[in-house]
Amino acid sequence: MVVIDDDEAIRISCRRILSREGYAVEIFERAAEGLARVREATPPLLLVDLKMPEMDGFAVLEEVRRTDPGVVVVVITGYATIATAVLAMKAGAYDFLPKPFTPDELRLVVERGLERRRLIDTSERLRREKELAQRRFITFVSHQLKSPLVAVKQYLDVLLYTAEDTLPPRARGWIGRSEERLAEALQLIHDWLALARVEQGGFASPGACTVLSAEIPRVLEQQAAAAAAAQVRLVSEVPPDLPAVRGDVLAVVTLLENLLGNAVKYNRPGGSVRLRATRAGEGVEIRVEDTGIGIPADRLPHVFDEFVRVRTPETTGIPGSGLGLTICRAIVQDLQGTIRADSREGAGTTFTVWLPAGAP
Amino acid sequence: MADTKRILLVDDDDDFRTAVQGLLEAQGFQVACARSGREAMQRIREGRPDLVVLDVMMEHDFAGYEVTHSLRFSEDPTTTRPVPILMVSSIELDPATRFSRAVEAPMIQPDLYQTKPLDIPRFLANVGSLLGIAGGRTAARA
Repeated sequence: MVVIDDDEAIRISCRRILSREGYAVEIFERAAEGLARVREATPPLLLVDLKMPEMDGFAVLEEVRRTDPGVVVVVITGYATIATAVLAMKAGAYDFLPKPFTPDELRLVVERGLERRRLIDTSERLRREKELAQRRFITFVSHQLKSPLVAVKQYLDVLLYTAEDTLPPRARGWIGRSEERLAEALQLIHDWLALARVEQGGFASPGACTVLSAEIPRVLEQQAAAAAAAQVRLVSEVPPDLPAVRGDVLAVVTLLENLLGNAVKYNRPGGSVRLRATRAGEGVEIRVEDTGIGIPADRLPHVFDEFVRVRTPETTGIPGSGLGLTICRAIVQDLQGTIRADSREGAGTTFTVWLPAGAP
Repeated sequence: MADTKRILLVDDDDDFRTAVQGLLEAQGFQVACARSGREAMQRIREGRPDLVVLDVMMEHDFAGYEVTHSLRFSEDPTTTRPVPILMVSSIELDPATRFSRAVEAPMIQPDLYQTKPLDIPRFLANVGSLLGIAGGRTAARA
């Protein structure tokens, strides 16, 4: 641990008492030197005098809280007024030691401070372990859920591929339906897994950014087959000089995929989907506008909620888990952007996303 | 039949293996199976296949990555011919994308990656391209 005090007698006695207890103690007369050592060695505990020339204990405390918040700070206060001690505690000190103190008082305060540090370390370790366990759990559960479905689907696929001609029409039809139902279940697992990941957040880590002018064409390309099958025209307007947006590429692409996928799915033959990205404030606005079936006004406020699907005669038969927009909202929130839905039933829906610019 | 291409199919799911083995044999390939990464390494040591079709999560979550790493880095390239790897998994991302920030990611990257359930035409095209053939029943015996 580190002791900073301008009073030599205090420094020496601290070192003597604490060394006898088996602690490694470094003492400093000058606050700046002590601070430098704290930054370099990040000791579990710092004892610092509140009243010193040049730089007082409050300044040291503030600096340590800012640079090494894990270091437990105990202030030594010469004028043992409650008011000063309270001020120091408010500024982030864990405890205080009024001068003059006995060796026992010093030992007690140091032991308490170190105990505090152990608690901080333990809770941090537990938090990390929990996060890791959660991530493993998600991967494991989704694997266990998918495996039987994958095996069944593979049997049916191989059967159709190798022996379709020999199957009676009804068998072919039922296998086809089975395939569709399996695809539904797999999509649900896929979306649930994506949501579980997205809810953990962490897409806006420093340096994570996405170049929309590069990613949007790729996502459009991906949706091209589905759009062609649905007879929906895909149009995009993306200026090449668009600034990069904040966020992991996978997260931003997932967001775009979901919005475009919906716009195609809830459209009509002959309809269109228009994606427009423009610079807006310190970021980019992305509008996905479709000429589809629209969302009834009373359902619109709920479209981002989990497992909400708009059930109308027109949506019957359109597969979906009801998680896509929940995933979109979670991603946008993690990136500190905004998302909004506007719709007129029977005329179409527009999703407007704003994402802050990100430095590449 | 001496030139029949030999494929090692590694997966811990018996049904998945049965289905894919049936598919590959119908295409004229000779198929051997292994149900774990450890068994796969043993099979490969016994006789090198022309292609390994490799699952990821088997006896443990990274078993397939481990096999890939072993085949790439624990073998002497001057004495052993490299075996192409087609990794198949229900994990949606290939190792290079899944662990994009890890420098080790390229070491477990297979030649090709495909997600399960397998899209059959694509799977057969991948198998064909890694075997250096156009794919299909006759080409398998080329």
